[in-house]
Formats: sequence, C-alpha cells, structure tokens
Amino acid sequence: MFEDEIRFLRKMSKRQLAQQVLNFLMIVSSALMVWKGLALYTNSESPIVVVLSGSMEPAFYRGDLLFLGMPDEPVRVGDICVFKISGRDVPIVHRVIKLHDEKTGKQYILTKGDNNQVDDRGLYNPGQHWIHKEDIIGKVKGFLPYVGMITIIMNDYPQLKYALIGFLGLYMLINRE
Amino acid sequence: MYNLLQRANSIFAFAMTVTFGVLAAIAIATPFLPSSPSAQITVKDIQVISYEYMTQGESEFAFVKLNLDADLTSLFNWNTKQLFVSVLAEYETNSHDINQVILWDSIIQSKEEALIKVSELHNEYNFVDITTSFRQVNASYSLYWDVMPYVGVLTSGQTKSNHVIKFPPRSNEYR
Repeated sequence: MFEDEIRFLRKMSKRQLAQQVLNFLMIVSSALMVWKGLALYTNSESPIVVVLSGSMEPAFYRGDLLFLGMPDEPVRVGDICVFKISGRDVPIVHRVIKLHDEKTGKQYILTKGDNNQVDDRGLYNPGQHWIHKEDIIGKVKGFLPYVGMITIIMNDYPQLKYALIGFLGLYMLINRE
Repeated sequence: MYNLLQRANSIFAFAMTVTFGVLAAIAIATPFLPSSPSAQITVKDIQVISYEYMTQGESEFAFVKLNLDADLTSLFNWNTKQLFVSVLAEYETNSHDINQVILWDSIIQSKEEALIKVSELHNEYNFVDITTSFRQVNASYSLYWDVMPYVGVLTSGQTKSNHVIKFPPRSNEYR
C-alpha cells in the first residue's frame, strides 16, 4: 500500500525533502501564530477553552467550545467568567452572581454554576469569600457546541493523539501536491 | 492519483468547510435579528433584619418581595438555546460605588415559558452587603437576561425602567 510513497520518498532529492519538511514546519508554526495572535487580540491567555464539567448545564455541556474575550471593561453581574483558584490547575467556568466594586477599583466577585444549588464559596480556597479581577482568565463571548469533544477524547486516550499526529506528519511529508 | 483515501479526504474537507461556513453565517446573522423584550418589576416589600453571617459577625440581611411581569418571547429565534433571566439589585454605598446582587434567577428553554408573570417573588439567594449594613441607601431593581445561542455570540440585556426604593431601617424580626 505504501510502496508508492516509499519509492517517492527515496526518489526525492535532498532539496525536495527539505522543501517538504519546511512546508510541514510552516503549517505547525502558522497554527501556533494563529493561537498566539488570538490570545493577543482577545487579551486572554487562553482565548478558547473546552468545557469539562456539567456545572453550567443546560447552557454548556462537557465538550463544548467557549471563545473568551477580556476587554478592558470591568466584570459585571451575569457575565460568565473563566477563572482560576490559586493552587489549582483546572480553570472553572461559572456565572457572576454577586459583585462589589470598591472605590479603590478593586472588585469583589462571587460566582455560581447555573446547574449548582449553592454559590462557589465551597470551591474557593478555605477562608476565601471572593475572587478578584486578576483571577479571571476571560469572559465567555462565543459558543460552539461539541467540537471540544476531540480534545477531551485525545486527553483520555493519549495513544490516539500520537497516532493522529504521526499520521498527519507522515501525510504532509509524502503529499505530492 | 484518485484513490479511496484521497476521495474520502476531499469529501471530508469539503463537508467541514461547508459546515463551518454555515455556522459562521448563522453566528454573524443572529445578533441582527430584531427583538423587543419588555419587563416590569415592582417591589412589594423589603425588610432588613440582622443575623450572624460567615466570619463577619452580625450582618444585615434584606428580604425582598416583588412582582415580576415580563415578556421575553421575542428573544426566541431559530438560534436561541436558552435564556438566563435574573432579578438584579444595584446600589451604591460610601465605600463601594457599584454593588450588584442577583436575587432570583431562572433558566428559560422555550418560548412559552418566556412570558413570565410571578407575584410575591422572594429573593432566593442571601441578600447581604459586603459590609455589615445597607445604611438605608437607595437600591434599584431590574431584570437582566442573557441569551445563549446554539452557536455564536452571547448577548445580554437589562430593563431600563428600574424600580428604585430605599432599604428600610433594621427591624428585629420578620413581620
């Protein structure tokens, strides 16, 4: 099945091979550039996140894709925010239900998942009653269902991820067009 | 040249392009669909009573009773998945220039439910200030909603005609 391709690889001159490798690197780096450009444009460190829990159902289900933005305007009640609790890696996507803006500009924010019975004080660190603007990664601006399932599946089955990356890399190298 | 893999690949690529093209068109078009939501909130009763609260000691709790009359049916179009509707209290104190508290919320998933008429609605969350007292300031009550699409941009809105009413002085027990 692959004899054709192998013969083709053998036949390629060094320059052709270099060209194919460069093409491949070009694709990888443009993907990285798009991601970082989006991060700059939206002013959010990770502009697209995947929903991992059901705490915002029926609005967001596991595997839905959220597009974040963090404009200069302050957080307001009703905004759905993605935030991090210090000491924990996985960010949380919940809605702001209570907010107090101190005259100094400091914001005291309390969040809650639409599907949860109680507010998030039990999720924050012990003794922490509020989160602040610096804990927030972004506000949810856009929504695309299901697409994030791909990354969830790949995280659950890493072999699949390596197989897919390997296959795509090989395909790019032996692609004759 | 045209083996099965290549054909499958180009069919898949074309299907993806078309799908995402249609989704993008829907996402861009939806915010331009007209809507005329309306809502009226009337505060019937407020009582302020103090109780022990978390670590901050004796704090004033407000108990609000209000009537809600809203017609949000026009927010339902072919790209509306759900509405998140909430009653919002906003006030300003000496130390904090913006205080916003959600008193009650509801998730609405069909056009029929978007005609809301509730009387004597009590706040479902604790209504406590970040300090220990409301100091009898004025607070305005309004309806806030956000529209969750099947795909695309999240939009939100709030009624303009707010009901403004002062917090009453502290009383000892609930009447």
